Amino acid sequence: MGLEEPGFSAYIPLAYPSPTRFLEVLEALVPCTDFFEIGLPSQKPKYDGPTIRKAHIGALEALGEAEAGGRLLSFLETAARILRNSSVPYVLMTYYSDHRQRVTSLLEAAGNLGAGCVLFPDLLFDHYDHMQDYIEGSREAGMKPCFFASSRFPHRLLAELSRRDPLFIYMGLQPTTGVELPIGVARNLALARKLVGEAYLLAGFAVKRPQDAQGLVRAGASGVVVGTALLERLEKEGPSEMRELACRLRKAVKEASMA
Amino acid sequence: MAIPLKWYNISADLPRPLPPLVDPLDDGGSRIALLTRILPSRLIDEEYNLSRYIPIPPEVVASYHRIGRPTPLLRAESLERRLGVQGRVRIYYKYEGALPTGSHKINTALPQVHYARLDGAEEVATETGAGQWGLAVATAASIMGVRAKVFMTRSSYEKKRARRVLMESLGAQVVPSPSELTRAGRRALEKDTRHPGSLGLAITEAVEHVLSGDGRRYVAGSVLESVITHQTVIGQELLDQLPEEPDYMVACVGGGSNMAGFAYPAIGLRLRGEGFEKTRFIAAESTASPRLTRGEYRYDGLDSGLVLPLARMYTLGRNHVPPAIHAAGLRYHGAAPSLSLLRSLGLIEPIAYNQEEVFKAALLFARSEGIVPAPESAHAVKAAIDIASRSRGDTVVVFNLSGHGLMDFESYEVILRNTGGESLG
Repeated sequence: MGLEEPGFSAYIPLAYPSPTRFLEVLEALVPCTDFFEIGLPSQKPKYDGPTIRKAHIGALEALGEAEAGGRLLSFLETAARILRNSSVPYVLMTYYSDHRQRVTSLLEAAGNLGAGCVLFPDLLFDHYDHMQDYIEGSREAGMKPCFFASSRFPHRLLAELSRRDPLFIYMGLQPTTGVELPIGVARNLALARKLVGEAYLLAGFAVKRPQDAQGLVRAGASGVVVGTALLERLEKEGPSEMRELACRLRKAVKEASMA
Repeated sequence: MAIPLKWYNISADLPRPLPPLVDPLDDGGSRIALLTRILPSRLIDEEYNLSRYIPIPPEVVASYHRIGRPTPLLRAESLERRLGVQGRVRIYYKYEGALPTGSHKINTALPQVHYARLDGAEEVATETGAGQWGLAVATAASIMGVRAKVFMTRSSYEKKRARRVLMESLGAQVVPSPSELTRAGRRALEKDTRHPGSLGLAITEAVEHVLSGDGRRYVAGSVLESVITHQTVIGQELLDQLPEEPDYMVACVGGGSNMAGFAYPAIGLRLRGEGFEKTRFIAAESTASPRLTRGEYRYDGLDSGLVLPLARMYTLGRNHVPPAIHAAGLRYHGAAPSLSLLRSLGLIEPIAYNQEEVFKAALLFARSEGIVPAPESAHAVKAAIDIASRSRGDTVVVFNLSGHGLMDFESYEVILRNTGGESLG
C-alpha cells in the first residue's frame, strides 16, 4: 500500500459517534480523504486531548463497554469492507499498552482486513524494547511498520526509523491532540524532514485550519492528518459541514505542492 | 572564555525517546492546554523543540555577561592534600556560587522572566525551597521590572531568613507555603496546621495563583526539560575549561536542573561517541528525598495538586512530604524526565547521603578550600570526597559546586552547635 503525496488523512475513532453514524461519516469523508486513520477506542487514550478522549469514551459506550473488544474487531470488518469498496486506504491507530498481550493477533487481524499499518503512538516511548517485534510482526502480517515521533525526539532514532522502510513516520506536532500550544511546528517539521530523508512524514495533532495544513506541507510534511477539528465540526454542525472542512483541508494540502 | 550562545537539548541525543508529558485523564479537561495560561510562551516552545541546540536570545546572553558568567573551574588542591590523595587524585569544581545570587538558579531565572515579560506579564510567581531559586527569580524580576511572588516552603521560610530577607529586599513578595492564599494551601493547612510544606505543594500554590489572575506567569525552578536545558551553559563552559577528561562527574540532584546543566553536554558527547567514554556520572541526593535511589520510574504529577501535567520520572509520589532538612532544595518528590530516563538506562548513577555525613563533608571542604558550600551542593562535595578517598589509581573528579552556603548560616549554626565545631580531620 502506498500513500498519496501530498496526502490528507482524516482521523476518526472507530464506532464514533455510534456504529451506524460512523459508517455514514466514513462514507461522507471518502471523496475528500486520501487515507483514513481509524482509531481503536481506548479507555486510556493518553496522548489525546479532551475532544478525542471524549470520542473514545463515546465509542466504547456505543459499543457496550464490557464487550467492546470483540465487537470492535467485528465492526472493523464492516468498516474495512466499505473502505475496500471505496478504494481509500486506511491505517489503524491504537495504544500498545492496550494490546500488550495480543499484539501479534491484532497485527494479523489488521493485515487481513487490509490496513496499511498499525500505529502505536506509545510504542517507542513506553515499550521501546518491543520495537523489533512490532516491525517483524507487521511484516509477517503483510503490512509495513509505521512510527510515531514527538517534538522532542532523538535524531539518530528518527534517521534509523526512516531506514526501516516505514509506511510513514507520524510527527506529533503538539503534546496532545487538538490542543494548540505556541510551538514552532514548522521549525520542528523542517528538521524532522532533514533527518528522515525521503520517508513519508505525516504531520498531525491540533491541525485545524487549511492554511495550517498547507504550511506543514511546505515545511516538509508528506501528508497531514486532522482529527479533533473534524470531530468538533461533526459534533457542532453535522456530517456535511465536517465533509466541507475535510475537502478544504485536502485542497489546501494539494495546493501546497503547486505553490 | 566566551559565554555559550546556544543551550544544549539532550533529547536530540538520548538513546531512546523521552516519554512526553501527559494529561491525567481524570476529567474532561487538559492540563497541557492550561500551560498556555501558566508558562511563558517561549518556554513552551523550548519545551517542545526538536533541535539539538537552541539559540540563547541576545538579551539573555547580555544578562549572563552582566551576572558574571562564565563561572570559574577551580582545582581543589587543598582538599586533595587534606584527603591525602594529592599526586594521585585531581579534584576540580565548577563554582556556580560565584554568581551574584550565590547559585546556578539565575541561569534559568533570567530567560524565563525575560520570556514572561515578552508575554506582557506584570508578575511572575514561583515556588522555592531553600530560597536559591526564589532569590534568583526575585533578582531577575527586579532587573527586568516585573513583580515576583515566591511561595517558600514553610520550613525554609522559618529557617532560611537570610534569603527571605534578600528576596524581600529585591522587591519580591514571599509567602510561606502552605498558605491561606490558595485552595491547595488551605487544604493542606486544614489537614495539618504545622505542615512544613513541600516543593510539590508550593508549585501547586504558585500555579494556582497564576491561574487566578491576569498578567501573571509561572516560572519553573527545575524539572521541565526547557528549564534544565537553560542550565547547560554550565556544562558547555566546563567542556572548554576542563584540562583533562574526568573519571567522575558529580552533582547534587533535587529536580535535576543542576545535574543536567552540569553533565548533559558531556553526556551528549558520550552518546554521540565523541568523548567521555570512561566518565561516570554520579547524582548525589538526600536520603530524605531519595527519588533516584528508591523511587519508582512511572508517570506522576509534577506538583502535588495535579494542576500541571504528569511526567514519567523517578518519583516518591507527588504527595511525598520530606522531613525538614537543611538542604531544602532537594526536597522534591521527582526528577526531571530526561534525567530519570538516563538513570533508568544506567548512564546516571545515583547515591543518597544523610544530612550528618553531608555536613561533615561540607565542613571539611570549607576548611580546605575556604568556601562554605550550600547544603544542597554539599551532597556533591560528599560524593566527590568519597570517590577521591576510595580511589586507588590516577583519578580525576569534577563536581558542580552549585551554590555557596553564605546564606545558610542558620543551618551551619545548628550543625556546629550539635557537633561542638569538631575538627574533621
